[in-house]
Amino acid sequence: MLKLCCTLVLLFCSAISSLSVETSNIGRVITPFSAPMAQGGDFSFENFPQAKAMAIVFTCNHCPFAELYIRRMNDFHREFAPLGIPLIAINPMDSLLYEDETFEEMKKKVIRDSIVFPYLQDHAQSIASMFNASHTPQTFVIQQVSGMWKIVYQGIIDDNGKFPELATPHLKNTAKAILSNLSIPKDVIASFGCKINYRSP
Amino acid sequence: MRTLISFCALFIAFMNGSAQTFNKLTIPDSLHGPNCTLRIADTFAQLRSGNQTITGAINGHTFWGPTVFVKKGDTIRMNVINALNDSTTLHWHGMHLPAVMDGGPHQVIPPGTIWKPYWKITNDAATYWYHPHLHEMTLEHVTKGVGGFLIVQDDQESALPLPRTYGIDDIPIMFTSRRYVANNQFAVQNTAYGDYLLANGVHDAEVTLPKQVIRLRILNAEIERSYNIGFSDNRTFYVIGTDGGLRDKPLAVNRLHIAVGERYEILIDCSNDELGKSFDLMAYNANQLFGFPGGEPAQNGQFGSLLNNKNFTMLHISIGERTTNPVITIPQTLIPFQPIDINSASSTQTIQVMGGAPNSPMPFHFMGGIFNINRIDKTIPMNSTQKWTITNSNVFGHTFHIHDVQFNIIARNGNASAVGQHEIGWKDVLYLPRNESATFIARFVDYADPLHPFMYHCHFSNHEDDGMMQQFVVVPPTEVSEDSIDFSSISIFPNPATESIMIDSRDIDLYYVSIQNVNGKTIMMLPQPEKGVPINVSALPKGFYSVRLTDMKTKQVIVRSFVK
Ligand SMILES: [Cu+2]
Repeated sequence: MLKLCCTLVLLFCSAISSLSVETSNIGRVITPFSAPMAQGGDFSFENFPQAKAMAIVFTCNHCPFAELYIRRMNDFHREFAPLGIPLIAINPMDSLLYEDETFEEMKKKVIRDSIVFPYLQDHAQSIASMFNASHTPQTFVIQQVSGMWKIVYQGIIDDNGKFPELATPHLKNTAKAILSNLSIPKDVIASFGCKINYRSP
Repeated sequence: MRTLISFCALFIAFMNGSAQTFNKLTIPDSLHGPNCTLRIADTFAQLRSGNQTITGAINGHTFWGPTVFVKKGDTIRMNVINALNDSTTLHWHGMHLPAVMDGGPHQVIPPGTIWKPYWKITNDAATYWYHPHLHEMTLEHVTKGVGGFLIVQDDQESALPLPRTYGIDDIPIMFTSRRYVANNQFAVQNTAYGDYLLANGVHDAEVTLPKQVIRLRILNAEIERSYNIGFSDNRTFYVIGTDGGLRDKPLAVNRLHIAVGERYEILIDCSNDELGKSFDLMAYNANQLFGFPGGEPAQNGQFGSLLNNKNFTMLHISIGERTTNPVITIPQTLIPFQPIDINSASSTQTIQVMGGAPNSPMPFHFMGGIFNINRIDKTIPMNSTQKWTITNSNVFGHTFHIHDVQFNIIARNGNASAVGQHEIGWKDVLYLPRNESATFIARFVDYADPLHPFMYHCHFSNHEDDGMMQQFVVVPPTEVSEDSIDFSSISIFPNPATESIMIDSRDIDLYYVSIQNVNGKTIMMLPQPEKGVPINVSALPKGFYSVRLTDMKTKQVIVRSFVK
């Protein structure tokens, strides 16, 4: 009877787990990655040979809080990509678990929201694991320092999802500091939104 | 519309330090059975100035969900859609129903999946509720705000001269509190108490009540905190209902202890109040005995809170115009109470609270072990009447909740006269202070299922998540033969399907049906599907689907498939 019980539970449970403690990843070295882009083709760091830094935003299609930031992400990319800080959005959600997160749905979103920044599918969740990403929309900035890409910012895009005009623009401030060679605060800003459920190994 | 208005009101009247600023109490939308769709989703709410708070809610609300109205005798059919980012469950708190429909930790709904329980309402008219119950995730999902009221109506209640105009003179209020961490997000970990009270998801709530008799249906949906309620003008109020039914007659009180998970229906007589008068519903929580949840003196930390050991306003009330056909008198009698005969109990179950002490290696749990989803802790014969005694020779108060049944508390510390007057009646949660015991009696009359257990647990969701929960099964009087079954005749038609499928299971009763898509993801869960009732698949995308069918008698599983 207990065995059956166990079987039932397994049958109804989807094997998901998540990182719950948010640790600082600032200073961590990031290996240049590549991934398929919803706009077509593969993204690689060679797409932006002039980049000094990159804003890496973990996002997805189904998270209502992430959804609020798409326009701001477009604006950021338009403003800062020409200055050497492009924005790269990465979807780490398990497309077996969420039907909204397939590559097809990502392609539709690119057209629907007129997305101008590269929108990548992290199918194996390996990029998210490398960053220790925990939520969408969690935001990192990586900067090239003596030939290595290092995380210099970990946090959020800004601190008001619905009213950007009331927000402190943390990501923009970081980009401006980089462009002005100013130091970047090392404090981690806790991320929130939709948990990235990592597939059990 | 209500949601919109209240959202604007909230946005304009931002939370600030001033006690004089109030926000209009929202009344959850109502949803009338017997067919109900509840879509649980992640969302966000503007609860205070600054960033929005990530919340979870139902059917477009930004916190909490609609009030489901059902009639006793009806068969309610629920369509629960989990659009959350996480797996969850939805438990029908207080309902008597088959374990497989109950929404406990075994009925996990993965994201994107529809769960379709149904049951005949046999509960009496009272205020019930629904909330997530996924083991180790209950605190997080409840904290987000997922849940709602479930109000049962019946002929006996309808015949009484009680206020019942929803949102006007019959007000459901769910009280809870939250602590905020960075960026206005709800604290989930290491937090037993919130710092700011929410009434139906509104901070510093106020309501205008008409100048007549008002019915409040109060739910304590806190993590741990009890409320010792009363009114700021110290007026008498009248308890008319407990968790699972109306009392035999109103009980006049000035104070009422409402612990986590409990519901009390009360009447307040505002018929002689002056128009424009205002007063407050209060929690008189200051200077309680040690062990009263929320009596700890600290202002912060895991067991501290800005509301601890304090008297605080729960709801600011102003008196408005009388409605047409108001109720202006408190009724003398309600529903005759026929308690369970104490002598009919065939056995006694004993439960002992363990662990949880400072420096204890074990969290709070019941003797026999912390929760194990694969261990059945008690086996209850169907058609039996049982006494359960829960003993708490331990460091703190708890609330004890049992699924499946409504019970009568028959003794506290072995003493029948120590049972509070207010808790005489039908209950599904009891408050268990430290160094005390409580005994209840309940009947386990049907829905035998040797496989699928019901839960009993502490209703503090942090304690529950830490393992202060155990399981019981109700077993049929005779052992079921476990012969093999001939499944060959089971078929699914039409195939290919367009709108719906039918399962022709001949004389085989089905225990569970689940439908998987081509990737193996469960997209629909149907506990004990009714014979001859088509399963609507019109919303599914085109493709190949497999159907897992579990037989009622042997629990053997076979797989069929169809194409859409
Ligand atoms: Cu407890």
